[in-house]
This record gives sequence, structure tokens and C-alpha cells, in this order.
Amino acid sequence: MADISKTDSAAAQADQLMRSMGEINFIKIALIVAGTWGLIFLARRLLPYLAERGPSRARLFLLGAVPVARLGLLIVAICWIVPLIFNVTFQNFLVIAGAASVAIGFAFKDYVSSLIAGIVAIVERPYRPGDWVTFGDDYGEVVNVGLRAVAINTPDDNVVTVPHDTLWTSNIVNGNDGAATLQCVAEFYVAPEHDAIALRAALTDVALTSAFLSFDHPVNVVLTETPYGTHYKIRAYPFDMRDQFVFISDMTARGKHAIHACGAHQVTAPAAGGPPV
Amino acid sequence: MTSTSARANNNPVKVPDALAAFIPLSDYETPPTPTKDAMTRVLTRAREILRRKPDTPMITDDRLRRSTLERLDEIASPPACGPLVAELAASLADWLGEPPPEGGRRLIVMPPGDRNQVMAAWAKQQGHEILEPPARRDVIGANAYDLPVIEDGRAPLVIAALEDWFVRDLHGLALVRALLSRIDGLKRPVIVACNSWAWQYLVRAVQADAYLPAPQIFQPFDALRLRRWLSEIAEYDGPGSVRFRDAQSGDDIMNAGQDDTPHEVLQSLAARSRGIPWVAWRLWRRSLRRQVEVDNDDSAEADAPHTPIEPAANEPAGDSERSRADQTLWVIALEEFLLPDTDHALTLLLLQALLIHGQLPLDLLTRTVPEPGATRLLPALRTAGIVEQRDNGDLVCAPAAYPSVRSGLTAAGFPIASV
Repeated sequence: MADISKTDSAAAQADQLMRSMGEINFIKIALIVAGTWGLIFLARRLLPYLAERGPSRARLFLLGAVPVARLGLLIVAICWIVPLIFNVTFQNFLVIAGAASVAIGFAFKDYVSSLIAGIVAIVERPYRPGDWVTFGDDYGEVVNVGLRAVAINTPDDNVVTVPHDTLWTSNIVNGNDGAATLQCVAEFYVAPEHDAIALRAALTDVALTSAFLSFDHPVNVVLTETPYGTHYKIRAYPFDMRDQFVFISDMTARGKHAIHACGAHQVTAPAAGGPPV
Repeated sequence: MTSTSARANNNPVKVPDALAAFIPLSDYETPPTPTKDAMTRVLTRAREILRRKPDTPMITDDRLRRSTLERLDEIASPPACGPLVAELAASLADWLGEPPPEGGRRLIVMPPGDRNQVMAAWAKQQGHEILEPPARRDVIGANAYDLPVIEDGRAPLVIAALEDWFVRDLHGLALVRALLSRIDGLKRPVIVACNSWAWQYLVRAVQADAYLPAPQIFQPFDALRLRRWLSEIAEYDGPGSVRFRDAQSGDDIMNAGQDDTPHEVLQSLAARSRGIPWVAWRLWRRSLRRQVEVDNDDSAEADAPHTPIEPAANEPAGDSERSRADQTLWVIALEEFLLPDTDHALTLLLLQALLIHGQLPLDLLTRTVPEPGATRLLPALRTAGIVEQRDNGDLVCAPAAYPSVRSGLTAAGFPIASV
């Protein structure tokens, strides 16, 4: 008799936790899921499309809006669906949270860690779509910030997917941090015997005469003596960071010409083991 | 009778009432765009963004026939920029008054497309010495030793186009640096004119603003000024008076409305041209039609009254005189230049180089644009009327296309000149 009453009590609890199958409106849930998926799909397609074709100044804003829109839509959908399936009370919340904790702790620890890091990444924004970032040895433009991972497109057109939980353990280098441009550096090693003042001025002109130069940022040429020669760096900003590689190429090509015109010559490190005999 | 209408370097400029004094460049405000026009442009831009390929990659002007152009030369003749020369003279008259200021400097900035060379015209009119630049190709590699001899003294010296003294090249800046340094050491008054894009670049590249005072510019040609000016240049020697009528509404555009409010077409023209007279004039010319042709594709034109001004071959002499007396030109909606979608970035690099240099021969243009093969786009740009070739072979950005080119460069994030 006592066993029967315990079973009834447990069944009543289960009834309280989840609605009965007859109560759950599956059509409504399906519509919410489909609508959310559709809106997320639209945001992921339309916003980057507008970002590439619209004004340059709006590009980063539009790209950055994609993960925020997706997170917002997911939260709305979850908040909408949960009450349709569960009886949301404090006690039920504790039951669900406890069960979820056990499942997550054993089975999905890394996945959930990435999901939480993904939410942190969307809120704190250490990187956002359109930024140029370095994860370990990979440098590229952030093309997608998902909930679990971030995808970057390298200059060689490879897409590298990095889980967000890298945030917890590694440094992340962000080249522009949401700004419209980033610093580009063209480097030269020059044999020490030369007029460094004249060459520094010439290399400054190399940057100042580039068609890609941003007029709102400084141009600096710095040099240091190294065992291999005088190391010059032209630090300048293009007006559009997507031009960074052509900008560096332009400065490098014309920088070589400037070095030659100043009567200096570049040096290179000898190959290991020396030239073939 | 005089009025004080502008301040530059804290000195009041007194000019006759009929003339508008030059103002500091920082005070230049583009005439506002009428709401209807703004909405149309937003919709056009949205359509441009959303469509994959442009409907018409280039603007065509086939409706403006040669005979019409000849007629337009009579009625809307090329602008002598008379008001600007007079306004410049009036603005500088006090400053250059006897005795000329020792070591004084004036910088006048002009928007691109100043074919009439307002500063040079003014200097010739006043008999001032103009410092002629070397040939553009000789600027490459030139330095202080290549500067022309500049005598010091009391008489004003005019540099009519500072943009002619440099090329955006590794070896193209030394001459303009030497020139600015030389000017700095002169006791005689110096008046410098510079294209606004070149000035913006020179400020960045050679710190030109350290040598010259804050730039001044003419007051923007708003709808009121345009109405006055376009009416003046339409007063030609032929018989009868010219009427400009809106092809959509039939309104007489030059008629003052209530409270002397200019017609919306003129407001639109002022905004589109950014208050630049030579741009406005060219856009104005593009929008004039001799007669409204019944065209299935253009219902607005088809709806407008049909008023041919060319007498028919079998028309009696009396009718011919009557129609000539009633000279009516129809003003159609202004069309936007559309930049080609192909190699858009490269096109913009070419156009930016042309705007910064004012005009360039092909070989120097190639030198200033880093991407190889950029010049292959030039034939398409010339066909579209966006780039023009001058008699000496130099390439220039067409003044009428300037607003569209500027919009394209702005949208792409290029550094943009003030005007």
C-alpha cells in the first residue's frame, strides 16, 4: 500500500515537472523553432550581404550584429518554448538544473564550456565578425561567431574553426578590436653602412604616397640595429583593413626601390648550412 | 554700400552686397537636400545594395542630341565663373590694399573641376605675377634646385594651382616641399589656390597647413544663388526670352515662389552639386531638353505639355518667329552617374588619384595607382562620361560625375576632402 502511494506521488511530481503530452502544443513549438531558425538564417545571410555592399563605416557594425541577433533570438525562443513543455516553478527549476548539471558534468563538459565561452565572447567581444585576430599560429578575419566556435578566414582562404573555450586558456591577439583599420608593418633589413636619416625619410614617403593610406592615423618609421643589419619597420594604417596585404605589398615593393635609390642595399640571412657546394 | 558677410583670420571681409565674400572652408555647408530627393536617393541606394547586378552599369545620355547641345551652348553657355572671379577680387581687395601686407598669405581652396581656373583668371585680370609650375612629368624627381626663380619684393605672387606641383609618388613630393619652404621665406604677399582633394592630401603628406593659413572658399551656391546665376547666363543674344519649365509639373522653375522660395528643382540641383557652381552648371545642362518626346518609357515626360521650339520645315514664317519668341526648355529629373560594378575598388583608386592631382597624363596615373592594369578600366569610364580626356591628353574626373564619384569614395571608406 505504501509502495503504491509512493509511486503516485512520484507520478504527480513528474506531472508537475513536465506537462502531459496532451497539453504540449507541438505545432506551436515547431513553429517557434522553424521561425527562429528562419530568422537566424536570414540574419546570417542578410547582414553580411548588406555589410559587404553597404557603406564601409557600417560594415563592422552589421557583421557584429549577427551573433548578437542569433543569441537574442535563441534566448527568446528558449524562454518561449520552456513554459510550453515544463511547469516552471522554483522546485522544478532545481530539479532540471540538478539533472542538467549531472549530464553536463559527465558528458558535455567541453561543449558547454565552449557554449558559455561563446556567450562571454558575444558579451565581452574580445573578437567579433570583421576583426582580424590571431589564435595560436592562425591569423585571419573573423567570419562567423557561433555559439560554440569562432571561424576565421586566413589570407590563404582557409577557414579555421576555433572553439570559444580557447578564451579560458590562451591569449587572443586582435589586430583592430572593432576599429575600421589596423596597423600594417613593412619590414626591411638594410646593411648598416648607409645614411639612416635619408633612408628613414624616404621610407616615410613610401607610406605617405601609398594610395591605400589612411589620412587619420600616423605614419612611423622605426629602426633598430640587429646583428644582421639595420632593421626598418614602416608602421602605417590603410583606410580599409581589407587592403592590409596589398598595402604592405605596395610599401614593400616601393620601399625596396627607396632603399636602392638611397644607395643602401638590403641584407638577407644566409641559408642554414650555407650555399650548396 | 558694403556688407560684412564673412570672417577669415579674424579680419572682416567687406564686399559689395551683390557679391558673396569667400568664407573659411570649415564654414562651408552643402545646401540641404529636399526631403523628396533624399528619399529617392535612399531608395536608389537600397536598390543598388540589394540587386546583384546593376540595371544599367553606366549612365547614358543618348537623349541629349548634338543639335540640342549646340542650342544649349547658346542658352546655358559654358560658365565663365564670372561671379567667382568678382567675388574673389572683392574678398581679396581689402587685404591686398595699399600697401600690400608684408609676408601675408592667403589660401583659397577650390572643389575639383575648376576648368576656368578662377584663381588664374583673377590674377591675370589684376595683373599679378603667377608662378608657373613645371610640366607634370618634370615634377617627378624635381627638388629645390628645380624651383623657378622667385624674386622677393612687394608685389603679390599667385600660385594658381598647388596641385600642379606634386605627384603622389616617392619622388614626387620634394618639389612641393621646396616650394612651400620657399614661400615661407618670402616677404611678398602670396596667394595660393589648391584643389580641395590635393589640399587634404598635402596636409597629410607634407604638413602644408604649417606653411599656409586656414583655407577659404566661395560661399556655396544654394538654390537662390543658382537661380540668379543660371538666369543670368541664360540671357543670350537671340530673340525672345528663355523659359525653364519642370517637365513633371510644368512649373516655371525660375519664377520665385511664395516668400521667394526657389523651385524644388533648383534646391535639388544645389544639393546634388554640393553648392559647386561648375558641377551645378553641368548637371543643369544635362537636365535640359528642347522638347518633351513622347516616350513609352518615360511617362513623366509624356505627360508634360508638348512645346516644340524648333519650327517645322513647312511652318510659315510668322509661326516660326512666334515659336522662337517662346523659348521653352524642359527640365527633367537629374540622373545619377552609376559607377561600374566591375573592379569597383580599382575604379575608385583611379578616380581618387585623379581627384587628388586634378589632372594627370596616363603614364603618371599608372604610376600613382599601385595595382597593375588599372588603366584598362579607363575606356569604360570615359565612355560613361565619368572620366574625360583634355586637349593636352591629360585625364580628369568629369565635374558632372563628381557628386557620384564622391559618394562612391565615401561609401568605400576613402579619405574624403571637405568639399
